[in-house]
Amino acid sequence: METTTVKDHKKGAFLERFSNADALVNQLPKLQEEAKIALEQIELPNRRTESWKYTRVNKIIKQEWHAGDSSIDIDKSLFLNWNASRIVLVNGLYRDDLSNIMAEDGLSVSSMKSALAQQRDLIHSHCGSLSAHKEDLFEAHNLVSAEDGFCLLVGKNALLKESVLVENYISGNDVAAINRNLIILEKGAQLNMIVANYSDENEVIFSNDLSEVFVGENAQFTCDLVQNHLGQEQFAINTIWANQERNSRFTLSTSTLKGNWVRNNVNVRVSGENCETNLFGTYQLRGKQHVDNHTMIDHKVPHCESNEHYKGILYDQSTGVFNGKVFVRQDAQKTNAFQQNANIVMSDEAHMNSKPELEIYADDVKCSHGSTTGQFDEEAVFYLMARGISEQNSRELLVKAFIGEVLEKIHHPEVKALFGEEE
Amino acid sequence: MKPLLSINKLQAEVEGHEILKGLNLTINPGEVHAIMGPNGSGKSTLASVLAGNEDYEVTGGSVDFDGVDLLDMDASERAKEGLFLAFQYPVEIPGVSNINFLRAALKEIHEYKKIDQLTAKEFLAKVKEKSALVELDGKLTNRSVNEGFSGGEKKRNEIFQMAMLEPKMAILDETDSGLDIDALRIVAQGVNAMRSPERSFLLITHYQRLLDYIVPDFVHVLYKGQIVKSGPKELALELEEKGYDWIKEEMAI
Ligand SMILES: Nc1ncnc2c1ncn2[C@@H]1O[C@H](COP(=O)(O)OP(=O)(O)O)[C@@H](O)[C@H]1O
Ligand SMILES: [Mg+2]
Repeated sequence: METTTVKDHKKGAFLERFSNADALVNQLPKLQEEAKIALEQIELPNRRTESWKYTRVNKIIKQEWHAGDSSIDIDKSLFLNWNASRIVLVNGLYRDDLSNIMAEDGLSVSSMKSALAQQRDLIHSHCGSLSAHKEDLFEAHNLVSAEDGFCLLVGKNALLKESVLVENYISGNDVAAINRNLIILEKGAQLNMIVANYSDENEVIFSNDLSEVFVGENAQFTCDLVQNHLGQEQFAINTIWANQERNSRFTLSTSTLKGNWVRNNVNVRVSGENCETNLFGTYQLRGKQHVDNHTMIDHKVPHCESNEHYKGILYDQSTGVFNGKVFVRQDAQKTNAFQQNANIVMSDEAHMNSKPELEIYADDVKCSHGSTTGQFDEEAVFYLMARGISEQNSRELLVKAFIGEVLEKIHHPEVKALFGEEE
Repeated sequence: MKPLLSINKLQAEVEGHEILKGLNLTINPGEVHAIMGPNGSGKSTLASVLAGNEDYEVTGGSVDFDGVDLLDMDASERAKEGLFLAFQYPVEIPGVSNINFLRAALKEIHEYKKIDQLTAKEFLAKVKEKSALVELDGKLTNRSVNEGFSGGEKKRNEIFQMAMLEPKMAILDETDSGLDIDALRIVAQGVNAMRSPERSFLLITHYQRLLDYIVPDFVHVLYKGQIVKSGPKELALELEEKGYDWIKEEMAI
């Protein structure tokens, strides 16, 4: 057994690599203090840590990470024909030269660095106000190390016609990219966005990306998140914290196209009445890929609705985790909360851990959850083949049909197209 | 005349149990054959083995289908060669629309046969014509395959698919079971409309009733994995009246 000192030493060595004189938090003393205390107190996640039970972090802790070159050229976009606003981050830093923000009434975008310099009050009142940096090691780690990110504000009643694309590239070897973003929708604002995270083959990277999203009263937020990490030794943590004010809508889809090791944390606090919250996700895992989706929806007030639907297919020796927490607090009467996680396991060596966790303290609510993990329907394959469709095409048709239910919920056709959807 | 299907001493097992025990059957082009037999005698096993279901292991014998070795092909190639199976229990496939999957099937079949693809317009006209033949609601043709269909709708959907794919040989596995008389009439009408001097049918059924509507050229009795008796269509009436016990007794002698 490892002694406490050995573990402390490992944690210390890991954190030491991220000490950064330019971290945003150096100008946010209260948060800095909170994160410092948390990092001292929180143990490295291990098998006994409930929220990290099935996802091992040892490799991340051991690796000798360093900051990447954020000035490199990038040519790997999945959205080459994008004509609207584009935000580009490279190795955690905002790239003014590659970003292209269209002039639109109500839209303002800047790097977190310059927002901290120019909109101090905004950053002070929002940054760290949602995240769990006091409880989770990697959130605290994000807070103490992030040097930049993007800050996106949509002003009161601004209905953005064009979607905003965020591209987040991580590139290099043994490169860690830590960034922290703020997205703020004021009352009555509307924003659709795509966020795409990329890393290349044959590179060893770690990313810890955290966004806090403030959805104001009667505001509408839609985001399609795309993850495409092509290399073997790549570790990506993506955390979203959102707060919804009344009459607002929050819709997020997460498409993990590829990722050797991916941990997604999506947390939504529903603070106002008559809100709608939609979380969708798909993953098709091959080789030794491991993808962990942790979601949390906290219904605090009455008359809200949430829909959650994650679907995945696991091939080879891949492993998947789904953990969906839904709280329905005592005051949250008339809540409708629906959650579904369905998986197909294609090989004996693939494995899925799926755990819905509904905690309901109100009595007049409609909540349902379902989790299914099964094998491919071979009878259906035979049925299609018996009509003349080749085995491979039959299987592809069935995979598409299975994932399709979630794919159709993706907002942007550009993202749907990444799945080879025609017609 | 060259037979369309000739089954020679076919043996097959499932999960280690031998079900077909040296079955012989020859079907000529244009003929309608009926197979009857008690539950568990191996009728569906025969249909599955012919269609290429890999849950069943062929342990002996051969099957020639219009000059090709049927057992050497996978299910999809057999369908492309013109074999069709109307399933006893049609599978529900959520998320795959009836229309899209038939379009995909026809596309592959036309590619295989090296004949011109249907245009979208031709395809839709064909769907309209063939679904009318079995009085299948246009809404059903657009829905996911068999999902939420009633029993009768599922069976009519099988015949609709048969009509769309125009096979050389169709095997209908208890397509009549559980149908009310109107649905039975519709199914029979679909089959009869497709009868031709080139196309053959193998009707697996429990009930002589179907054979009032689709008149067979031959009736066979399948018992314990073998064809134990064959005769003209009157044999079906005899089976309906007397049951299978007399055959079992004949066998025991
Ligand atoms: N997939 C299977 N697994 C195990 N036993 C099977 C399977 N399919 C058929 N059998 C067995 O084979 C025998 C013949 O079944 P079947 O061909 O369905 O008969 P029929 O269609 O004539 O009623 C039965 O004893 C049945 O239990
Ligand atoms: Mg049967």
